[in-house]
Order: sequence, then structure tokens, then C-alpha cells
Amino acid sequence: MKIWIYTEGEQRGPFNIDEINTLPIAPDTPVWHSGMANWEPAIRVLPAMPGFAGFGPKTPAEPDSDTPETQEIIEEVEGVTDEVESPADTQVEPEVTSWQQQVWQQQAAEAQRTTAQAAAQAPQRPAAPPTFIGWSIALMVCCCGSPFAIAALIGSIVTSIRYSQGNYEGARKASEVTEWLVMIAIALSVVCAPLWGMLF
Amino acid sequence: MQRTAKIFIAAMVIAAIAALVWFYATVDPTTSPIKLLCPIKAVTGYDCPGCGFQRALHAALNGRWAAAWHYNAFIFFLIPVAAIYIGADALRHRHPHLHATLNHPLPLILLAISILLWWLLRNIL
Repeated sequence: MKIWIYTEGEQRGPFNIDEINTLPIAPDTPVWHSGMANWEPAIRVLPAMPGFAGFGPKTPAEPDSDTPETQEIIEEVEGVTDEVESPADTQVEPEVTSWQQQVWQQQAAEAQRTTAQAAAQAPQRPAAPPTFIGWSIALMVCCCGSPFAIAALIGSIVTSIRYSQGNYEGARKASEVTEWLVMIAIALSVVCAPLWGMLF
Repeated sequence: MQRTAKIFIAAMVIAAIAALVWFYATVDPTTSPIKLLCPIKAVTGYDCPGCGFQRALHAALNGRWAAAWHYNAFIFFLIPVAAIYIGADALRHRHPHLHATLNHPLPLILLAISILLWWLLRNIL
């Protein structure tokens, strides 16, 4: 696929897709390749460019969601070129006007603003729920409560793993279960100790 | 929670710990007529990871460290670790990074593996 770019007041090209990745292209740089009706900002034509992270319609809350989309666009672009092949390469590139460039620059700036706003509004990572690991292992030595202490230790690990995987709701639930197990272990230990003393 | 309630709970906990220390310092579990049986040991016949703690505590509180080590060597590791974790919980607001590091899955899993190994080894050896 042959791609032309428009920088520093002149057209440059043709480049292939590998060369494009090494060029200093801004999100608003006009780009054209065969099969396109008009020049378009690079962010729309080449959203997979390494330097473009944070521009365009991506939202920071779902950073992975744009990957398949990007691939789709690239496939689409390549498909178009394969179909039309050489006749399209002879197509005359439309003129780039300065007002078009201005519009694209405005769009890029707006996209950046939107991204920053979305980042500010994105839900915060909630505080890690308590794992109660200290209590779990401390209660392991209290014989009456030891079966519950062992269950609580497993609960602590589940809480920690779920939180580290981003399953905050699951981590909170596991933390609650662990808390109950710790309470039962403490209760059993407290019940056992006076019994022991009384009988003695 | 109110400040007075916090102080009350802290006082109760300290009193309970003092009572336990006094109790285990004076009563020798090996000679006392009543045995507090561990449910795991009662059912399976095998020592649990904490079995021997009472005898070890009595020996340690009377200065017999070798005997304490013999009854349950693992508590010399487990009790300090538990103290560190409970301390990190209490100081979470002041040292959030320490708390987060200690509560990562990796140290927790290593801890569980060490307990499991101790449990196996003490029953095999």
C-alpha cells in the first residue's frame, strides 16, 4: 500500500506501511492513500501509530477496546488496496487546504481535551479490602479455632488475588467471608479458654 | 468509632493478653489434668500447624526456649509475622505502600506454602 503524507507545506511519499511507522507524524498530519476520496488526519487513517495513544475516540476506561477496531481498520485499508491495486495508485491526490489542516488541528485538540476529561472522571481504583491475614495466622495457634483459621487464610489469599486481578467486588465479598471466619475462630478460642480454666 | 470506645477495647485486649500470659506462665499443659484438644488432632490424629503452642508458650514464658522450640518451632516464625501483619493493618493510613506490598498475593501464597510445608513435615518427621 502506498501512503502520502503532508508535512512542512509539502507532500511526501509514497511510503509503505512500515516506513510510515518510522516517520514523525502528528495526529493531525494529513494522510492520503489510494482508495481514499480526500486527505484525512493521520489519527483517523492510521490509528495504530505508536505515538497516537491518548488521541482519538479511545477512552482511558477501556484501553483494550480499541485494539480489534484498529486491526479492523488496517485490514479494511489493506483490503481496499488489494482490490483496486494499480489503477488506484494513479489516482490524483486531492489538494490539501490550510483550512482543512486547521479543522484537523482543532479536532485533535478537542480529542485530547475529551481524553483528559474522561481520565479525570474515570472511576478510581477502590482501596484494597482487608485480607485479615495477620489474624488468620495468629489464630492458627489457637487450637479450637484452627480449622476456621485455615479457612480464613484461604479467604485472605482469595481476597488478595481477586483485588490484584481487578475483581474489586469479588475481593470485597471474599474479605467479608474472611472476616466472619476470623470472628468465629476468635469466638471459639474465647469460649475454649475459660472452659479450660474452669475445669482446671 | 468513638475515642473512649477505642480505648476501652484496647484496654480489654491488653487485659486479655495479660491474663493469657499469666495463665500460660503458671499452668503447665503437660501436667495439668485437663487437655485442650485440637479439633483437627481429635478428628485426624495428626498435629495441626498450631499444635504444641500452649506447651511451647508455657515453656517460653518460663525461660525454657529449647523446650519451646521442641514443642512448636514454627511459632517463632508465625507469631512475629502475624504481629507484623496486624501492625501493618493498624498503620495502614500512615504506611499504605508497606500494607499494599505485604498484602500482595505473592507473600500471602508463600506464607500459606510455608505453613503447609511445616504441617506436612512435622507429621512426617
